[in-house]
Amino acid sequence: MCAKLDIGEFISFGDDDALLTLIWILPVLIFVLYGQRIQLYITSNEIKKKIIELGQYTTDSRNDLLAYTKREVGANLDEKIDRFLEYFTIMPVDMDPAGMVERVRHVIRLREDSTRAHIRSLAPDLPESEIARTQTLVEVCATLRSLYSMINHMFLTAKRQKNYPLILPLQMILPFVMQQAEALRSSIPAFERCVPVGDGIGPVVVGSMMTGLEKRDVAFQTVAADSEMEGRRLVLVKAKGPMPTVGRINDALDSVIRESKPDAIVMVDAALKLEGEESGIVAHGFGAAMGGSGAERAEIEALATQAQIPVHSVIVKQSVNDALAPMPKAIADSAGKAHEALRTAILENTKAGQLVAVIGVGNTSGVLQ
Amino acid sequence: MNFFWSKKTPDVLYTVIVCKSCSERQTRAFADGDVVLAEAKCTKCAGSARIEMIYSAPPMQQ
Repeated sequence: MCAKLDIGEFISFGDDDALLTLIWILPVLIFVLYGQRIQLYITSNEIKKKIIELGQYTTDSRNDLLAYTKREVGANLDEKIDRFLEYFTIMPVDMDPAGMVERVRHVIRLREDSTRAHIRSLAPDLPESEIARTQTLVEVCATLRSLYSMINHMFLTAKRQKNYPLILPLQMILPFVMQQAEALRSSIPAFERCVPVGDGIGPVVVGSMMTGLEKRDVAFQTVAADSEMEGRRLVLVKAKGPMPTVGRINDALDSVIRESKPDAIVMVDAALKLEGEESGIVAHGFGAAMGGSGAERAEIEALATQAQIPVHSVIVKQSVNDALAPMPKAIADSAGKAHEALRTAILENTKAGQLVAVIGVGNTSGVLQ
Repeated sequence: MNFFWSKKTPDVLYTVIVCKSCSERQTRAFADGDVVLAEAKCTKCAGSARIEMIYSAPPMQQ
Protein backbone atom coordinates (compact mmCIF):
# COMPACT_ATOMS: atom_id res chain seq x y z
CA MET A 1 0.00 0.00 0.00
CA CYS A 2 1.37 3.35 -0.88
CA ALA A 3 0.58 6.38 1.30
CA LYS A 4 -0.71 9.41 -0.51
CA LEU A 5 1.94 12.14 -0.68
CA ASP A 6 0.72 15.40 0.73
CA ILE A 7 2.75 18.08 -1.05
CA GLY A 8 1.47 20.80 1.24
CA GLU A 9 2.64 18.88 4.29
CA PHE A 10 5.96 18.08 2.66
CA ILE A 11 6.95 21.63 1.89
CA SER A 12 5.56 23.19 5.05
CA PHE A 13 7.41 20.87 7.44
CA GLY A 14 4.28 19.65 9.11
CA ASP A 15 2.73 22.83 10.34
CA ASP A 16 0.97 25.39 8.24
CA ASP A 17 3.78 27.83 8.68
CA ALA A 18 3.49 30.06 5.64
CA LEU A 19 6.56 32.10 6.52
CA LEU A 20 8.81 29.03 6.64
CA THR A 21 7.43 27.87 3.32
CA LEU A 22 8.14 31.25 1.83
CA ILE A 23 11.71 31.24 3.16
CA TRP A 24 12.23 27.80 1.68
CA ILE A 25 10.66 28.42 -1.67
CA LEU A 26 11.71 32.00 -2.40
CA PRO A 27 15.43 31.32 -2.89
CA VAL A 28 14.54 28.34 -5.08
CA LEU A 29 12.41 30.58 -7.26
CA ILE A 30 15.09 33.28 -7.35
CA PHE A 31 17.76 30.79 -8.37
CA VAL A 32 15.51 29.19 -10.98
CA LEU A 33 14.56 32.50 -12.54
CA TYR A 34 17.69 34.58 -11.97
CA GLY A 35 20.43 31.94 -11.39
CA GLN A 36 22.31 32.71 -14.56
CA ARG A 37 22.20 36.44 -13.91
CA ILE A 38 23.53 35.96 -10.37
CA GLN A 39 26.33 33.76 -11.72
CA LEU A 40 27.00 36.35 -14.43
CA TYR A 41 27.18 39.08 -11.78
CA ILE A 42 29.59 37.16 -9.53
CA THR A 43 31.79 35.94 -12.40
CA SER A 44 31.87 39.32 -14.13
CA ASN A 45 33.00 40.99 -10.90
CA GLU A 46 35.94 38.59 -10.67
CA ILE A 47 36.77 39.07 -14.35
CA LYS A 48 36.48 42.85 -14.04
CA LYS A 49 39.17 42.89 -11.34
CA LYS A 50 41.51 40.96 -13.63
CA ILE A 51 40.72 43.25 -16.59
CA ILE A 52 41.54 46.31 -14.44
CA GLU A 53 44.84 44.63 -13.57
CA LEU A 54 45.47 43.90 -17.26
CA GLY A 55 44.62 47.51 -18.13
CA GLN A 56 47.11 48.66 -15.49
CA TYR A 57 49.84 46.49 -17.05
CA THR A 58 49.07 48.07 -20.44
CA THR A 59 49.21 51.62 -19.06
CA ASP A 60 52.37 50.97 -17.01
CA SER A 61 54.18 49.36 -19.92
CA ARG A 62 53.25 52.28 -22.21
CA ASN A 63 54.49 54.79 -19.62
CA ASP A 64 57.74 52.82 -19.23
CA LEU A 65 58.21 52.81 -23.00
CA LEU A 66 57.57 56.55 -23.29
CA ALA A 67 59.97 57.26 -20.42
CA TYR A 68 62.56 55.03 -22.07
CA THR A 69 62.28 56.76 -25.47
CA LYS A 70 62.43 60.19 -23.82
CA ARG A 71 65.57 59.14 -21.96
CA GLU A 72 67.35 57.28 -24.78
CA VAL A 73 66.10 59.00 -27.93
CA GLY A 74 65.81 62.40 -26.27
CA ALA A 75 62.55 63.45 -27.86
CA ASN A 76 58.87 63.53 -27.02
CA LEU A 77 57.48 60.76 -29.18
CA ASP A 78 54.24 60.04 -27.30
CA GLU A 79 51.98 60.46 -30.33
CA LYS A 80 54.19 58.44 -32.66
CA ILE A 81 54.73 55.64 -30.13
CA ASP A 82 50.97 55.44 -29.58
CA ARG A 83 50.56 55.00 -33.32
CA PHE A 84 53.07 52.09 -33.26
CA LEU A 85 51.11 50.50 -30.43
CA GLU A 86 47.93 50.64 -32.49
CA TYR A 87 49.49 48.63 -35.35
CA PHE A 88 47.64 45.42 -36.02
CA THR A 89 48.60 42.34 -37.99
CA ILE A 90 46.12 40.49 -40.18
CA MET A 91 47.28 36.91 -40.37
CA PRO A 92 46.89 35.26 -43.80
CA VAL A 93 43.73 33.39 -44.73
CA ASP A 94 44.11 29.70 -43.85
CA MET A 95 41.24 28.32 -45.97
CA ASP A 96 43.90 27.25 -48.46
CA PRO A 97 46.87 26.13 -46.31
CA ALA A 98 49.22 25.82 -49.31
CA GLY A 99 52.08 28.29 -48.91
CA MET A 100 50.85 29.32 -45.46
CA VAL A 101 54.35 29.36 -43.93
CA GLU A 102 55.68 31.79 -46.54
CA ARG A 103 52.64 34.02 -46.17
CA VAL A 104 52.87 34.12 -42.36
CA ARG A 105 56.59 34.85 -42.55
CA HIS A 106 55.98 37.57 -45.11
CA VAL A 107 53.41 39.33 -42.90
CA ILE A 108 55.51 39.03 -39.73
CA ARG A 109 58.66 40.31 -41.45
CA LEU A 110 56.73 43.17 -42.98
CA ARG A 111 55.60 44.21 -39.52
CA GLU A 112 59.10 43.84 -38.04
CA ASP A 113 60.79 45.71 -40.91
CA SER A 114 58.20 48.51 -40.93
CA THR A 115 58.39 49.05 -37.16
CA ARG A 116 62.19 49.13 -37.33
CA ALA A 117 62.15 51.57 -40.25
CA HIS A 118 59.72 53.86 -38.41
CA ILE A 119 61.82 53.82 -35.23
CA ARG A 120 64.90 54.60 -37.32
CA SER A 121 63.09 57.48 -39.00
CA LEU A 122 62.30 58.98 -35.57
CA ALA A 123 65.94 58.88 -34.52
CA PRO A 124 68.28 58.36 -37.49
CA ASP A 125 71.41 58.43 -35.29
CA LEU A 126 70.24 55.69 -32.97
CA PRO A 127 72.57 52.65 -33.07
CA GLU A 128 71.19 49.29 -34.21
CA SER A 129 71.25 47.91 -30.66
CA GLU A 130 69.05 50.77 -29.40
CA ILE A 131 66.65 50.33 -32.32
CA ALA A 132 66.36 46.61 -31.50
CA ARG A 133 65.74 47.44 -27.85
CA THR A 134 63.06 50.03 -28.64
CA GLN A 135 61.45 47.68 -31.16
CA THR A 136 61.29 44.85 -28.60
CA LEU A 137 59.70 47.19 -26.05
CA VAL A 138 57.17 48.38 -28.66
CA GLU A 139 56.28 44.76 -29.48
CA VAL A 140 55.83 43.90 -25.78
CA CYS A 141 53.57 46.93 -25.20
CA ALA A 142 51.58 46.25 -28.39
CA THR A 143 51.04 42.61 -27.35
CA LEU A 144 49.84 43.70 -23.89
CA ARG A 145 47.50 46.22 -25.47
CA SER A 146 46.03 43.66 -27.89
CA LEU A 147 45.52 41.18 -25.01
CA TYR A 148 43.69 43.86 -23.03
CA SER A 149 41.53 44.88 -26.01
CA MET A 150 40.58 41.29 -26.81
CA ILE A 151 39.67 40.34 -23.23
CA ASN A 152 37.81 43.61 -22.63
CA HIS A 153 35.84 43.10 -25.85
CA MET A 154 34.80 39.55 -24.83
CA PHE A 155 33.81 40.76 -21.37
CA LEU A 156 31.76 43.74 -22.53
CA THR A 157 30.01 41.67 -25.21
CA ALA A 158 28.96 39.02 -22.66
CA LYS A 159 27.84 41.71 -20.22
CA ARG A 160 25.86 43.68 -22.76
CA GLN A 161 24.09 40.57 -23.99
CA LYS A 162 23.60 39.44 -20.35
CA ASN A 163 24.71 36.07 -21.67
CA TYR A 164 26.27 33.82 -19.03
CA PRO A 165 27.52 31.10 -21.44
CA LEU A 166 29.44 33.79 -23.35
CA ILE A 167 31.45 34.66 -20.25
CA LEU A 168 32.47 31.03 -19.56
CA PRO A 169 35.21 30.78 -22.22
CA LEU A 170 36.59 34.09 -20.93
CA GLN A 171 36.65 32.77 -17.37
CA MET A 172 38.52 29.69 -18.61
CA ILE A 173 41.21 31.48 -20.65
CA LEU A 174 41.73 34.44 -18.30
CA PRO A 175 44.26 32.76 -15.93
CA PHE A 176 46.45 31.84 -18.91
CA VAL A 177 46.14 35.30 -20.44
CA MET A 178 47.04 36.88 -17.08
CA GLN A 179 50.07 34.61 -16.78
CA GLN A 180 51.23 35.73 -20.22
CA ALA A 181 50.50 39.38 -19.40
CA GLU A 182 52.46 39.20 -16.12
CA ALA A 183 55.38 37.64 -18.00
CA LEU A 184 55.29 40.40 -20.64
CA ARG A 185 55.08 43.08 -17.96
CA SER A 186 58.09 41.66 -16.11
CA SER A 187 60.09 41.52 -19.37
CA ILE A 188 60.06 45.32 -19.82
CA PRO A 189 62.68 46.18 -17.16
CA ALA A 190 64.80 43.27 -18.44
CA PHE A 191 64.81 44.51 -22.04
CA GLU A 192 65.23 48.13 -20.94
CA ARG A 193 68.38 47.28 -19.00
CA CYS A 194 69.55 44.67 -21.54
CA VAL A 195 69.49 41.88 -18.97
CA PRO A 196 69.40 38.20 -20.06
CA VAL A 197 65.95 36.62 -19.87
CA GLY A 198 65.14 32.95 -19.29
CA ASP A 199 64.60 32.46 -23.03
CA GLY A 200 68.24 33.49 -23.54
CA ILE A 201 69.68 30.23 -22.19
CA GLY A 202 70.28 28.91 -25.76
CA PRO A 203 72.32 31.99 -26.76
CA VAL A 204 74.21 31.79 -23.40
CA VAL A 205 75.28 28.17 -24.05
CA VAL A 206 76.24 28.67 -27.71
CA GLY A 207 77.65 32.17 -27.08
CA SER A 208 80.07 30.76 -24.47
CA MET A 209 81.34 28.33 -27.14
CA MET A 210 81.91 31.28 -29.50
CA THR A 211 84.13 33.39 -27.23
CA GLY A 212 87.53 34.09 -28.72
CA LEU A 213 86.49 32.80 -32.15
CA GLU A 214 86.16 34.87 -35.30
CA LYS A 215 82.49 35.72 -35.86
CA ARG A 216 80.79 36.46 -39.18
CA ASP A 217 77.32 37.78 -39.99
CA VAL A 218 75.30 34.99 -41.63
CA ALA A 219 71.84 36.57 -41.63
CA PHE A 220 70.08 39.65 -40.31
CA GLN A 221 71.14 40.15 -36.63
CA THR A 222 72.57 36.61 -36.63
CA VAL A 223 76.21 35.54 -36.30
CA ALA A 224 78.15 32.32 -36.86
CA ALA A 225 81.59 31.03 -35.88
CA ASP A 226 83.56 27.89 -36.75
CA SER A 227 84.78 25.65 -33.97
CA GLU A 228 85.83 22.08 -33.27
CA MET A 229 84.86 19.39 -30.75
CA GLU A 230 86.69 16.06 -30.54
CA GLY A 231 87.29 15.86 -34.30
CA ARG A 232 83.86 17.23 -35.28
CA ARG A 233 83.69 20.55 -37.09
CA LEU A 234 81.12 22.86 -35.60
CA VAL A 235 79.29 25.86 -37.09
CA LEU A 236 77.96 27.82 -34.12
CA VAL A 237 74.99 30.09 -34.81
CA LYS A 238 73.17 32.53 -32.53
CA ALA A 239 71.41 35.91 -32.63
CA LYS A 240 73.80 38.86 -32.44
CA GLY A 241 74.00 40.08 -28.84
CA PRO A 242 73.80 41.84 -26.55
CA MET A 243 70.81 43.62 -28.11
CA PRO A 244 67.43 42.01 -27.50
CA THR A 245 66.84 40.08 -30.71
CA VAL A 246 66.14 36.52 -31.77
CA GLY A 247 67.92 37.01 -35.11
CA ARG A 248 66.88 35.11 -38.21
CA ILE A 249 67.93 31.57 -37.45
CA ASN A 250 66.18 30.03 -40.47
CA ASP A 251 67.99 32.35 -42.89
CA ALA A 252 71.26 31.60 -41.08
CA LEU A 253 70.71 27.84 -41.37
CA ASP A 254 69.86 28.21 -45.05
CA SER A 255 73.12 30.09 -45.53
CA VAL A 256 75.09 27.45 -43.57
CA ILE A 257 73.56 24.61 -45.64
CA ARG A 258 74.38 26.45 -48.88
CA GLU A 259 78.02 26.90 -47.76
CA SER A 260 78.54 23.29 -46.68
CA LYS A 261 75.85 20.77 -45.82
CA PRO A 262 76.07 19.82 -42.13
CA ASP A 263 75.72 16.15 -41.10
CA ALA A 264 73.58 17.09 -38.10
CA ILE A 265 71.82 20.07 -36.57
CA VAL A 266 71.68 20.49 -32.80
CA MET A 267 69.48 23.25 -31.40
CA VAL A 268 69.53 24.60 -27.83
CA ASP A 269 66.45 26.44 -26.66
CA ALA A 270 64.22 27.19 -23.71
CA ALA A 271 60.97 25.20 -23.66
CA LEU A 272 57.83 25.50 -21.60
CA LYS A 273 57.79 23.16 -18.62
CA LEU A 274 54.74 21.16 -17.70
CA GLU A 275 52.94 21.87 -14.42
CA GLY A 276 54.73 20.02 -11.63
CA GLU A 277 58.11 20.07 -13.37
CA GLU A 278 61.02 22.02 -11.93
CA SER A 279 62.45 25.03 -13.78
CA GLY A 280 65.87 24.39 -15.26
CA ILE A 281 65.46 20.71 -16.14
CA VAL A 282 67.57 19.87 -19.20
CA ALA A 283 66.25 17.34 -21.73
CA HIS A 284 67.46 15.99 -25.07
CA GLY A 285 65.01 15.29 -27.89
CA PHE A 286 64.46 15.23 -31.61
CA GLY A 287 63.10 17.85 -33.99
CA ALA A 288 63.52 21.60 -34.18
CA ALA A 289 63.19 23.36 -30.84
CA MET A 290 61.89 26.83 -31.54
CA GLY A 291 58.95 28.95 -30.45
CA GLY A 292 57.45 31.99 -32.15
CA SER A 293 54.86 32.00 -34.92
CA GLY A 294 55.92 28.59 -36.23
CA ALA A 295 56.92 29.95 -39.64
CA GLU A 296 60.66 29.87 -38.82
CA ARG A 297 60.44 26.37 -37.32
CA ALA A 298 58.56 25.13 -40.37
CA GLU A 299 61.29 26.51 -42.61
CA ILE A 300 64.04 24.85 -40.54
CA GLU A 301 62.12 21.56 -40.70
CA ALA A 302 61.73 21.95 -44.47
CA LEU A 303 65.45 22.72 -44.94
CA ALA A 304 66.48 19.74 -42.78
CA THR A 305 64.04 17.38 -44.50
CA GLN A 306 65.07 18.49 -47.97
CA ALA A 307 68.77 17.97 -47.18
CA GLN A 308 68.09 14.85 -45.06
CA ILE A 309 69.85 16.30 -42.00
CA PRO A 310 68.92 14.89 -38.58
CA VAL A 311 67.79 17.55 -36.09
CA HIS A 312 68.46 17.12 -32.36
CA SER A 313 67.42 19.47 -29.60
CA VAL A 314 68.51 20.27 -26.10
CA ILE A 315 65.88 22.11 -24.12
CA VAL A 316 65.91 23.88 -20.77
CA LYS A 317 62.46 23.74 -19.24
CA GLN A 318 60.92 26.86 -17.70
CA SER A 319 57.62 28.66 -17.19
CA VAL A 320 56.30 31.54 -19.34
CA ASN A 321 57.26 33.96 -16.57
CA ASP A 322 60.81 32.59 -16.35
CA ALA A 323 61.20 32.82 -20.14
CA LEU A 324 60.46 36.55 -20.32
CA ALA A 325 61.60 37.79 -16.91
CA PRO A 326 65.27 38.39 -16.00
CA MET A 327 66.92 34.96 -16.01
CA PRO A 328 66.16 33.21 -12.71
CA LYS A 329 69.01 31.51 -10.84
CA ALA A 330 67.57 28.03 -11.51
CA ILE A 331 67.81 28.62 -15.27
CA ALA A 332 71.26 30.25 -15.03
CA ASP A 333 72.51 27.26 -13.00
CA SER A 334 71.31 24.88 -15.73
CA ALA A 335 73.67 26.41 -18.34
CA GLY A 336 76.45 23.94 -17.39
CA LYS A 337 74.08 20.96 -17.64
CA ALA A 338 72.74 22.24 -20.98
CA HIS A 339 76.32 22.56 -22.27
CA GLU A 340 77.06 18.99 -21.17
CA ALA A 341 73.82 17.73 -22.80
CA LEU A 342 74.76 19.56 -26.01
CA ARG A 343 78.20 17.96 -25.97
CA THR A 344 76.66 14.51 -25.44
CA ALA A 345 74.15 15.09 -28.26
CA ILE A 346 76.96 16.06 -30.64
CA LEU A 347 79.33 13.23 -29.70
CA GLU A 348 76.66 10.50 -29.64
CA ASN A 349 75.03 11.44 -32.92
CA THR A 350 78.00 12.32 -35.12
CA LYS A 351 81.36 10.83 -36.06
CA ALA A 352 84.79 12.48 -36.13
CA GLY A 353 85.26 14.58 -39.27
CA GLN A 354 81.57 15.39 -39.64
CA LEU A 355 80.13 18.90 -39.69
CA VAL A 356 77.55 19.90 -37.07
CA ALA A 357 75.43 23.08 -37.04
CA VAL A 358 74.91 24.12 -33.41
CA ILE A 359 72.18 26.71 -33.00
CA GLY A 360 71.44 28.73 -29.85
CA VAL A 361 67.78 29.72 -30.19
CA GLY A 362 66.19 32.51 -28.16
CA ASN A 363 66.39 36.17 -27.29
CA THR A 364 70.01 37.18 -26.84
CA SER A 365 69.32 40.24 -24.66
CA GLY A 366 72.39 40.91 -22.49
CA VAL A 367 74.39 38.01 -23.97
CA LEU A 368 77.50 38.56 -26.06
CA GLN A 369 79.24 35.95 -28.21
CA MET B 1 58.98 32.81 7.83
CA ASN B 2 56.67 33.74 4.94
CA PHE B 3 52.95 34.04 5.49
CA PHE B 4 50.44 34.09 2.69
CA TRP B 5 49.66 37.73 3.40
CA SER B 6 53.28 38.84 3.47
CA LYS B 7 54.52 40.62 0.34
CA LYS B 8 57.12 38.83 -1.80
CA THR B 9 60.46 40.61 -1.75
CA PRO B 10 61.39 41.64 -5.31
CA ASP B 11 64.25 39.69 -6.84
CA VAL B 12 67.63 41.35 -7.24
CA LEU B 13 69.99 41.02 -10.21
CA TYR B 14 73.44 39.52 -9.66
CA THR B 15 76.48 39.36 -11.93
CA VAL B 16 78.84 36.39 -11.68
CA ILE B 17 82.44 37.09 -12.71
CA VAL B 18 85.03 34.35 -13.15
CA CYS B 19 88.74 35.16 -13.36
CA LYS B 20 90.62 33.51 -16.23
CA SER B 21 93.91 33.37 -14.34
CA CYS B 22 93.11 32.68 -10.66
CA SER B 23 89.64 31.11 -11.24
CA GLU B 24 88.20 33.35 -8.53
CA ARG B 25 84.41 33.38 -8.74
CA GLN B 26 82.84 36.60 -7.56
CA THR B 27 79.13 37.43 -7.34
CA ARG B 28 78.18 41.08 -7.10
CA ALA B 29 75.11 43.25 -7.67
CA PHE B 30 74.32 43.82 -11.34
CA ALA B 31 75.43 47.15 -12.77
CA ASP B 32 74.03 48.73 -15.95
CA GLY B 33 76.26 47.76 -18.86
CA ASP B 34 77.03 44.27 -17.56
CA VAL B 35 76.52 41.66 -20.28
CA VAL B 36 77.15 37.93 -20.23
CA LEU B 37 80.52 36.88 -21.75
CA ALA B 38 81.89 40.46 -21.58
CA GLU B 39 85.42 41.09 -20.32
CA ALA B 40 85.82 42.24 -16.71
CA LYS B 41 88.60 42.68 -14.18
CA CYS B 42 89.31 40.28 -11.32
CA THR B 43 89.12 42.05 -7.96
CA LYS B 44 91.50 39.53 -6.38
CA CYS B 45 94.44 39.34 -8.83
CA ALA B 46 93.49 42.23 -11.17
CA GLY B 47 93.74 39.74 -14.02
CA SER B 48 91.40 39.33 -16.96
CA ALA B 49 88.00 37.96 -16.01
CA ARG B 50 84.72 37.27 -17.78
CA ILE B 51 81.09 37.84 -16.83
CA GLU B 52 79.86 34.26 -16.74
CA MET B 53 76.24 34.85 -15.85
CA ILE B 54 73.63 37.42 -14.86
CA TYR B 55 70.65 36.14 -12.93
CA SER B 56 67.83 37.28 -10.70
CA ALA B 57 67.32 35.84 -7.23
CA PRO B 58 65.81 36.87 -3.89
CA PRO B 59 68.10 39.30 -2.02
CA MET B 60 69.41 36.76 0.50
CA GLN B 61 69.95 33.88 -1.95
CA GLN B 62 73.32 33.96 -3.72
